[in-house]
Amino acid sequence: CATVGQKAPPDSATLSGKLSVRVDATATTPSRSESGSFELKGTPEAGQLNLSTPLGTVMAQARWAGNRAWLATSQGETAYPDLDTLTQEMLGESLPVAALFDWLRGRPWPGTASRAVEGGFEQLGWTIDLARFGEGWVAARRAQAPAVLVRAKVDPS
Amino acid sequence: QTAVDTLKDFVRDVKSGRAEFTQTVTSPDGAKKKTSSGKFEFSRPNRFRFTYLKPFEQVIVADGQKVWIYDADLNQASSRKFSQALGATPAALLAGGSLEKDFDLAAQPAKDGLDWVEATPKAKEGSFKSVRVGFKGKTLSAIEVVDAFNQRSLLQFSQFVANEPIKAETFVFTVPKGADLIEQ
Repeated sequence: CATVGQKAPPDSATLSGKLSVRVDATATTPSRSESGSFELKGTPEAGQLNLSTPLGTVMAQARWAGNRAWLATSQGETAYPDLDTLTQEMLGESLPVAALFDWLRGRPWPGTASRAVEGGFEQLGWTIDLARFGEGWVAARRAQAPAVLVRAKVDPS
Repeated sequence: QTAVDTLKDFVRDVKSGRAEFTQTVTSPDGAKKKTSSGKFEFSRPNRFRFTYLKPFEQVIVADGQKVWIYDADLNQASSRKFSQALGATPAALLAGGSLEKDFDLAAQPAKDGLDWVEATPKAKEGSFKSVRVGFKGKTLSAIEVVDAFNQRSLLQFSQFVANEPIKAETFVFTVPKGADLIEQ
């Protein structure tokens, strides 16, 4: 498979690094982007994602357990019925966080089928580019408009 | 002369400054520490530049109106209005023009060989639990920020030089060619 050089971190380890999410503009909404350093803990069933500024301040913290999810920012905490709705609110488009746990480890999520493509694989309507996974880079692109591009540089653990 | 007086003198007398810095961010559960380092320059009011050199290249530039962040790895730039730039508060404390209007100041016991001042933002924007500034004598030595999630960011300064002229373009940010820019 495509991983060479950097071996995927063990499952329970915290994943950290830098993350940038960019959502293209639509007729009615401007393009949106969030970037910062991230820490992803736990599992798709129960876990936490912190997004921090370069100066080390947490901008947003997403937590989930079972199918409930919470988003905390400096303005306070909001509950959501599930993680998809939370990321929809956070970024304007829902992000498959459950799958992210595996994608950031350079492998398809076992929850559904995937198809190998040149330099990576396709899953859930996303194309995962692992060409530079050896240096810790993962890029996930969702073609369906508005296009979403998630780029992450994962710290070697 | 308490550390509060030292901070007030600092804001009044030091119009510009530069220093090396080391930043240590400690995760809320204290388990993980991330260090980075670089150069810090500022010029009152509200202009500063953090040039991160290690472990990766990144700059934060405040030009008086906006705060620009550029990450070389991601080749992504973002800009926010100075007032909404979350996390700009510690630097705004140093480079700002209205210390006592924006912050309540309280001296704290000496610790780690430094005299400390706690600065509480008057505007309740809720993103910080505490911002503390540490001096060694009259020299700025550290800023420690604990945010609303208990993440701790300690900036330690060294080779601080005050009131030397700094080129104006230091505080101007130009988006590198081909970089992705998002105006928030």
